[in-house]
Amino acid sequence: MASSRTLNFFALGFLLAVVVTVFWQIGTDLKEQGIASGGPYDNAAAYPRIIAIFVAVLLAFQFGIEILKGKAAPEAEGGQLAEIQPSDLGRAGMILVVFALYLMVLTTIGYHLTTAPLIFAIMWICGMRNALKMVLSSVAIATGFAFVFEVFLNVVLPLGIWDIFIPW
Amino acid sequence: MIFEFLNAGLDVFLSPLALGLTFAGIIVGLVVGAMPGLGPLMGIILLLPVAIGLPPVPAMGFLIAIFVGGSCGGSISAILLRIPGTPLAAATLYDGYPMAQKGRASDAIGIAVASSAIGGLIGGVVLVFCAPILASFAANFAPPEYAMLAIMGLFAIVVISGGSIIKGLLAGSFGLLLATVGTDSFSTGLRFTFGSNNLLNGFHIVAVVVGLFAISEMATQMMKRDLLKIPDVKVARPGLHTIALTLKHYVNLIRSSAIGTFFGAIPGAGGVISSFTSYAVAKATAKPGEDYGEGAEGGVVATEAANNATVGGTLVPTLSLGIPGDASSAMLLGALLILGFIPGPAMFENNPDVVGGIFMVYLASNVFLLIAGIMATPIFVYVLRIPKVYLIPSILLLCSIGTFALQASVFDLQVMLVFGLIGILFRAADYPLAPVVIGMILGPILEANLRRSLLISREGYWIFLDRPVSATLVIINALLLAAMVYLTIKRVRGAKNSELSKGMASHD
Repeated sequence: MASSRTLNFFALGFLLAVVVTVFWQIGTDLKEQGIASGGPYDNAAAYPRIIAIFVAVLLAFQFGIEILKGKAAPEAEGGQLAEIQPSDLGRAGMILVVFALYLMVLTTIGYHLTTAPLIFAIMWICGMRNALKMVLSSVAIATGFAFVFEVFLNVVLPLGIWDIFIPW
Repeated sequence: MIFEFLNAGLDVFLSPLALGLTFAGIIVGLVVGAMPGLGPLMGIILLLPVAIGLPPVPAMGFLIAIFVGGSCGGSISAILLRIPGTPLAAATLYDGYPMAQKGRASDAIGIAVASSAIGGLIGGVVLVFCAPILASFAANFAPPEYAMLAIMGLFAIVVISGGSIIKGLLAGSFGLLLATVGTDSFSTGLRFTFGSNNLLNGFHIVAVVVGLFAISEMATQMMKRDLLKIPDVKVARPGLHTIALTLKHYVNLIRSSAIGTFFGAIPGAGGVISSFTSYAVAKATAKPGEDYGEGAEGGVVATEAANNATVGGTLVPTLSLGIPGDASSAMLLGALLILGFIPGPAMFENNPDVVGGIFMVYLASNVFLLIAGIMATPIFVYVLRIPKVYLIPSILLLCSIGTFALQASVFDLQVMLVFGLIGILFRAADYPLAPVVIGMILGPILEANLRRSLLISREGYWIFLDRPVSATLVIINALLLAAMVYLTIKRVRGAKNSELSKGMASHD
């Protein structure tokens, strides 16, 4: 992925939101707890405040640089990003959506019922269309990982509301 | 003193678990190193959740061996596919690939493996001798020195690792802020928890790092169009004779290992700089018949010896001062912290068996690298043939189960996903990710020592200038800051001038 002005402003906006959150929390929650002032022992706000001020100064510099760059080279907008097709971005976006859905239902439905469909869906997004191969691979990968983690590392994977587990 | 550590570590090292996991780590490292897009850092991140459930020396053996194997594994794909598995192997392309084209792929891989192992062992000797000396010197350090060292570690990584200085500092500072989330260890007050009990201990570093690096990398891989492609790779079988071929270049080998160890010990410099530097030095001092760039064995020796020697060098400040040399060693430092050990002079004093065990596993992992690299290369070549359509879901699953296994918490998985999105944004906007991790690891060290310094000081911040070592570190930090300002101004002016000349050319 390449840099572009828009993405840089998104990143700056995100970091600005972090700085604002730090000051907002110091002014409200930390103040209410009585840890926003005093000496080095009691003042839990001093250090994050210093870092947040430092970040704010850096953000101002970076913002200035982006503005200067934008004035000097407006045609640079997009840059190498132009090489990425919407379908490429779509695949990356879809995998994140599918993964987010998986995390949402994981504790309710359990590992064994959700993981093979997740892998199947990712393979489909990747462009694979051989259904039999996809089913067999997704079940094999999901079961293989479960075996390694449950048997060798004693990890109890989410059982879901139906308490589904494999008695290895 | 040095042999005391090795002796103390021998018992814990000579257990089937430690030996087995160190060997397994080498195999995993070679596999992740060989796969383009992964590498030693990703290998450590993916297997960290597995390692932290183990006893300390086997766990560190596993992770250090992944670091060692991964630093070498990139050369396999560089030689066979002309795609370096990791940036560390980028310089290996110059001569490794031409060697393969001349029908000497097996020799090139064998030389790469042997040079990596010998370079790593030389780096290991430096580690074993220098780390205890540095730790003994640092035993007199007090909170002001540690606070300044933490700042120095962060600044050095931002200055040396390249890219935009301001973006590097922003990423590092973001990491410092992340580390403040949770219960304050001094006042026991709650900071930035937003009333959530899940955040009382802050973000779990593994969930953050897996999200930032692994999830964002998988999303990046999904944008490529070779997801179903089976790479055409021919099987290579290096033999034991390649060790003799490597030893013929002994001057180059020792010199490149020394360069690698030196750069490894400087926070931020790392394997990429050391491999390119040693390649340039080897090329400059080459004999007339050696055609560097056209398949010279010396080129492969120089780059591979240097990048693996870097691992030994980078462990020196990591273990003796608690200051990581790069993102991979930052993860090793994080693993030690999770396992309950605080790297630095106190660990050398109180846990000589763990320190000695780490020395032993590091040395052993280089020996195992030689064995596994020479004997099992065909396996790694077969791994290169696995299409991404199988790798991506497998890695995502490994990330998920590993992160879940940390605390049996779905919240950690959600944290992982959120930081995956942040990682994607940062990558897209060219923000380096390594400073975030280093900031997150150095953050608690910096804050605790800063506040302790102020607690013991009668003159506030002047305590940092009252003590000679601390004052020296303040000066070094000031110089690094000046270097950052200078480099930023230079870069902005350079960009402005090039745009001006472009503009004038278009008017003409």
